[in-house]
Amino acid sequence: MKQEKKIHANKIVFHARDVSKIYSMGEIRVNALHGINLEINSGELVVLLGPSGSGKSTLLNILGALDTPTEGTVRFKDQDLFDSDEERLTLFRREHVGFVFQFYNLIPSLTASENVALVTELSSNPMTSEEALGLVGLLDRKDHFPAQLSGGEQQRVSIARAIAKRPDVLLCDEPTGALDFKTGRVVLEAIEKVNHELGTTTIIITHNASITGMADRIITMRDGTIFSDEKNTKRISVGEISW
Amino acid sequence: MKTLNIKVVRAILGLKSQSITIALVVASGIAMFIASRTAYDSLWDARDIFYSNTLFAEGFASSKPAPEILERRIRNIPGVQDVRLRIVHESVIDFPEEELPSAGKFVSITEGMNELTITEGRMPVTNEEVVLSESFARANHLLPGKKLAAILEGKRKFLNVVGIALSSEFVYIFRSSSPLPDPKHFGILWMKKEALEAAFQMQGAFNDVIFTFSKDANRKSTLKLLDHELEGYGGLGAYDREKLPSHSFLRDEFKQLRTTAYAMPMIFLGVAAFLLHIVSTRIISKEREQIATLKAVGYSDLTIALHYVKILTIISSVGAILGILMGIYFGDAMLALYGEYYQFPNLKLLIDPILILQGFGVGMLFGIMGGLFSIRSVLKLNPAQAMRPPIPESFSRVPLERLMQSLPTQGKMILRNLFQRPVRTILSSLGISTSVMIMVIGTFMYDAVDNMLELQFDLLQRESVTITFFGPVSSDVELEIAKEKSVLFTEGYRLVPIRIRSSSLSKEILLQGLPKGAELRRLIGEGEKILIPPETGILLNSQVAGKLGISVGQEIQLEILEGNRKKVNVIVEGIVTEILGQGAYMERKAVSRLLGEGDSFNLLALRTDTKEEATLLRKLKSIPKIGGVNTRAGTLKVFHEMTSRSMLATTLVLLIFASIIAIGVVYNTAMIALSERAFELGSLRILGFKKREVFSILAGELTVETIVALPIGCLTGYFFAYLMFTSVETEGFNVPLNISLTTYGIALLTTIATSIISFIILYFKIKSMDLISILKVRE
Repeated sequence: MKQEKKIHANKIVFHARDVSKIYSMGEIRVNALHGINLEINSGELVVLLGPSGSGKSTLLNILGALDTPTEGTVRFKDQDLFDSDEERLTLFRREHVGFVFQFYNLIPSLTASENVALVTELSSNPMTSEEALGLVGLLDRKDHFPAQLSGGEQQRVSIARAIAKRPDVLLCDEPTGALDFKTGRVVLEAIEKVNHELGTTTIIITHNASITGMADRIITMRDGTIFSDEKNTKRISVGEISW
Repeated sequence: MKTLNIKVVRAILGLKSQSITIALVVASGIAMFIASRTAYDSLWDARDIFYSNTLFAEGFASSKPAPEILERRIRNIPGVQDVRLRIVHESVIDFPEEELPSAGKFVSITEGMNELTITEGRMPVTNEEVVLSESFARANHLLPGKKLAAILEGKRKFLNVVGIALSSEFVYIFRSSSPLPDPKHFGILWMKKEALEAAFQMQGAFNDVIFTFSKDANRKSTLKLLDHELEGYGGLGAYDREKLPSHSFLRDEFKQLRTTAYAMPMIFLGVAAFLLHIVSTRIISKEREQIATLKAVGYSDLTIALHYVKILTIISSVGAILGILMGIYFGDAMLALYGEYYQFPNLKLLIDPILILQGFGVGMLFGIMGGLFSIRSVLKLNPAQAMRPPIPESFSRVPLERLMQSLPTQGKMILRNLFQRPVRTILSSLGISTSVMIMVIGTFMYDAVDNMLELQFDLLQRESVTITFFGPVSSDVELEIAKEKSVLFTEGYRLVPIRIRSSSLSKEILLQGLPKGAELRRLIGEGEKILIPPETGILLNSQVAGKLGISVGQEIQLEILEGNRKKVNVIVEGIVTEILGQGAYMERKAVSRLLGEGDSFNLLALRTDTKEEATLLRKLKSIPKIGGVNTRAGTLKVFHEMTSRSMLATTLVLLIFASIIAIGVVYNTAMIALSERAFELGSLRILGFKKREVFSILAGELTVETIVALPIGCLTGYFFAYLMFTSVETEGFNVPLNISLTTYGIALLTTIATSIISFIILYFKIKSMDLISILKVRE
């Protein structure tokens, strides 16, 4: 089961410097991130761990250019992400980033394969919807609407949608948060497969510590800062994980 | 097909009922636009074709009998292109079985100008043959082949009806003494010139001139020169087509139609745009997460905005196409109704492709405008922010909290929802109020007519029978008529055409001499003050005074257009507010003095005992000098027929569309509320609320919004009715706007009824929905 894969330590994908984020939710100002310094290497599978409110989603959103930092810089490969305008950020997301959300965020009026096609139409070198769905083992469900799919199936469609364009990075925000153990594991297997076979740099947010087993690297966050950042020397396959 | 386009189609299908109602609202606006514009354009076109086909004259003048040798001189007047001389004479027509005396205007037939359009039969060949104006012939069942008796110069003569005709000069047929047409008792009879020469002993003479202007004519000076030519023959003043009663009445009618044709569709489309705005805002706010997802995967703001524009555009264009089809159908129906009324030959529906394109364009424009603001909010949405659950709305206690203490929890929920989202509540109420508004503007014209009739016949013109004489008569005639058993009271009036002049402006109007202390006809000034006709000065109609810039105390020139043609200067002593007609008023004796005649009159107003009226009318028929008799009941009937026909067409169409809008608004508001609140309502179900209770919360909010909407709709309805009403400025009418409680009542009831229907649909929708399952899928 376990395959060899390459992590290019010398090839840095993300390089965050002194990143802080303050935002106001209604009448409250939240200091979500302060002084984050971080490098993510190409091909790495990183698990971002931490209790809710620790800032992990904010960090992921900033890396994925869904949100902008209040202070600090983020470089993607050689380019400064937030140096550019809104249009460039859209292009960046379109070309380089795949997202997987906790609540799947599928378009209810589109079938599984159409949800994937939504993304492939935007990219220059995508796989077909069928390939992407095949990769997550859902080829036989391709004509089903989201409402006709189980939670785990919906999440796998969302992974297929994220990877179909062959992104450089796959950002997953609590991908198993809404799923039970069994379906959660199928979803994680799909993510692992993508990381292995396509070499996609993957960051998974979770507050489920059991998942860390599958990671190359485990970053723990607390109160908007990085609490620990360790390499996982005893990496196991998803099949061996249990929680 | 692009996947995003698939989403467009599915979104529209998913919002099926809402899409249909929105499309119908847009369709109503466009249908109104197309129907009223095509009907208007077709009428306008038919009139123009009619005018040019019949070689309609541009100038008119009448006089006492004058020798035909004048023709050469008239023809030589600079500015006159072509001229025809005629004989025009009013005489009594005797229908033995008819209660009221009838009269007709005999007009000699001209060739190459004011030609007749024969609709049945043929032109006269012999001197005993006559062609009748169509409305008169129809009202009296006089088809070709029948005979009718006319009293010509005191002699009873039988004439053979050989044809029925339409004439561009007499689309509307008025008698000088009445502001309303009465086709039953007054018509036009065309005969050969020789026949009329013989009948009225006018061999080699004429008393009426019609002519056309040359291209470079200075019309004013041409008219003046013609007046000069006819001066020695009692010329009554030449005038151009604009002053011809039929044409000017038609012109005013068309103005009114035009207002309706332009204003109503704009109001409808405005409402449609407003509804689209409300609906699209809510659809978009519901799709917040989807929009964020699209942004997250790399779709640009523009693409996403275009996606929603596409949805609205498709719905609007379906509405526009439907509207165009409905518009053509209703336009045809409206034209058919107008056709009975205006009687132009060749009246057919003209479908202007440019208008159709305009209709389509306007539909799309309003559709997109309606959605534009809500789409703007899409662009503002930050993708990451949208991924988080929406910030819970900060509810707090509302101003009425104290009063709410005793309310059940559901009541509190309803009130807090309404108060905490005031903008939404107000928008919903405004949306519903448009339905009331449209109903009010659709029906207020009936009130205007009722108002007009009430003021005219209860306040100003209070006689029950009006007798018009061919010429002035002395008080003997009054005494003779007053002797009749059914006559309770009589008053004689002297009517004479005059021209008033102030600086360079002039206008021909009717001067009315009222007897001292007149009871039956009264004059009302500003603030409904009763005015007394002056012995030396003159009272003048407010609109005429306004147009000529005349104010009280000013001296104006008055020229009598009859008999001695005297010109005198008089002081304007007061301004009269009138509803029907525009005149000038003096004491009767003063008018007689001006005319140089003894105390005489040519109109007699009677108050009668209506039970005995029939006997009186029979008696009146035997008095030879009488040209016409009008009864109050008859006039009212004519008026109702005249006004209600043309109004019925537009009102019916308006009512249909107003109902569609009412349903569209209330139903949409209910559906949106349901989908927005599905999560919350689902939670209530889990907590143990029954479906009926869940329904009552939604229905409660909608009820409050509807109740708030009702008075707003009445107010905006009045406002727009006022705007429409005052934008129509016509020659003869000056009606105050007074909308009746019935009109408001109908508008309110329709809205309430459509609300109830929407509530019923909402109830069944809630009943069939599995609200609890909504909680399971957070999509």
